[in-house]
Amino acid sequence: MKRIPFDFPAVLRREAESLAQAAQSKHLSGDGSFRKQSHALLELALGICKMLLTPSCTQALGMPALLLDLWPGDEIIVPSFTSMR
Amino acid sequence: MNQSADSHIPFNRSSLRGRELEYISQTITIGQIAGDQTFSKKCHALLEQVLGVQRTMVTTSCTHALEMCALLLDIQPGDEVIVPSFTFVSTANAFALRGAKIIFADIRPDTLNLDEKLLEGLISSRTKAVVPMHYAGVGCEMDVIGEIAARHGLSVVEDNAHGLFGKFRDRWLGTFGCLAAQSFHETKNITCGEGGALLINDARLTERAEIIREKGTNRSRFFRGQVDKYSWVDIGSSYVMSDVLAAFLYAQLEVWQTIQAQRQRIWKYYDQHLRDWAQERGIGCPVVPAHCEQSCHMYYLVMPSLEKRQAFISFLKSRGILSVFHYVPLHLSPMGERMGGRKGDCPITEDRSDRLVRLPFYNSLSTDDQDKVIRAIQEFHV
Repeated sequence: MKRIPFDFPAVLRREAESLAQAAQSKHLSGDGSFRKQSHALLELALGICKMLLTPSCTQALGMPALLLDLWPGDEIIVPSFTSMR
Repeated sequence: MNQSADSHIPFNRSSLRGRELEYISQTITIGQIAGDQTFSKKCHALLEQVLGVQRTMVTTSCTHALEMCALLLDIQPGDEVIVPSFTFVSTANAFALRGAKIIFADIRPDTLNLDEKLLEGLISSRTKAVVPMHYAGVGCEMDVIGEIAARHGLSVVEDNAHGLFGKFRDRWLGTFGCLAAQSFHETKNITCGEGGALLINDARLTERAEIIREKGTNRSRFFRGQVDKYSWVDIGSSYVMSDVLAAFLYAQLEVWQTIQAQRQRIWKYYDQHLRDWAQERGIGCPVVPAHCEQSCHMYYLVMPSLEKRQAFISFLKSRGILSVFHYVPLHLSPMGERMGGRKGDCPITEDRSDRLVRLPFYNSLSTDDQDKVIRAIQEFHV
């Protein structure tokens, strides 16, 4: 019987190619050319003024907490039915 | 510290050391691009086996591994954490994020590591931890630091960003503190571009580390079948490295001895050709005490003055060679000053920060290119 997983990352055509290109570049750290291209694409498509990629959505959610200067005692409203991030 | 594109010899350059591309394509083929899958596990097993640490967890960065340490030690607002002033911001920031007051220690004039003789004088009733950073991969005086910390009930967290595969008194760096943080940033001996690892030497911290790393959930226990569903049990974040990066990292880790041998060759070559020249001109070279087996992360010179250092960097740049300075004293940064740092607090840090210059150093640096760097340096009029 063919097993159907709940999830499997779909890979289009150019991921491996881009990865190989990035891996062979002289600089591997963040904010290189692929990151800049992703920022530009998302900013243009979504019409937002500034876009910053992060290691995860969780980490991106941690940034507003810092940007809003939240400190012990401040209250935040979130749905109960959500991820634990 | 930016590297201009037209530099003939850059300060740093990434290079593939083995099967990086092959392993990356494997992650895509088998559909394992999230974290903690085959390649992350291989990295964990290798590091645990070689270093003999209780538990390793690869993370998104060394900064994040340090943030995990601050969470694991339950650092609270008002707690004090002692860090060297001469280090990267993350050593301090990880703890400042939890509201800790950072206490800046000066460094030893020889190894540029946290000066263990000053440590006791900086401890107060609020001190919770000390974070020695093994500068350039030369070990801090861990026996003295460990003894003082134990006597005052402080935790020791090693910032081992530079020191993977270095040793202090025949023991691996990263195995002295209850926790240690590794960096796999592109400038490091072994890299995956952006990445890090948490080393856990105190087994009591392992379970909570798994929870903090998995967004404050007991997901790891769920996957081991220890609980029937996973839930939000603690604060935490996502510190898990993607297996795509872990695949890259593993390809480098599995040839770590070859990489370390290359680094050693590069370091020794600089040292053989520059030490006498430097000493005759009042220029300092790295000091590696006999009981330290360094990781060969960098080669630096300490010029006679700030002006000479700047002139030296410009001179090399005019020859197409990129050399760079290093840490700016943390206690004099805007954040450091807000925490009470004042000029004169850490005189050795202030002095060395002005005078230190790092030479090009990367795994694929050829002897020919090193000869060019050495020749250019010897033409500089001090």
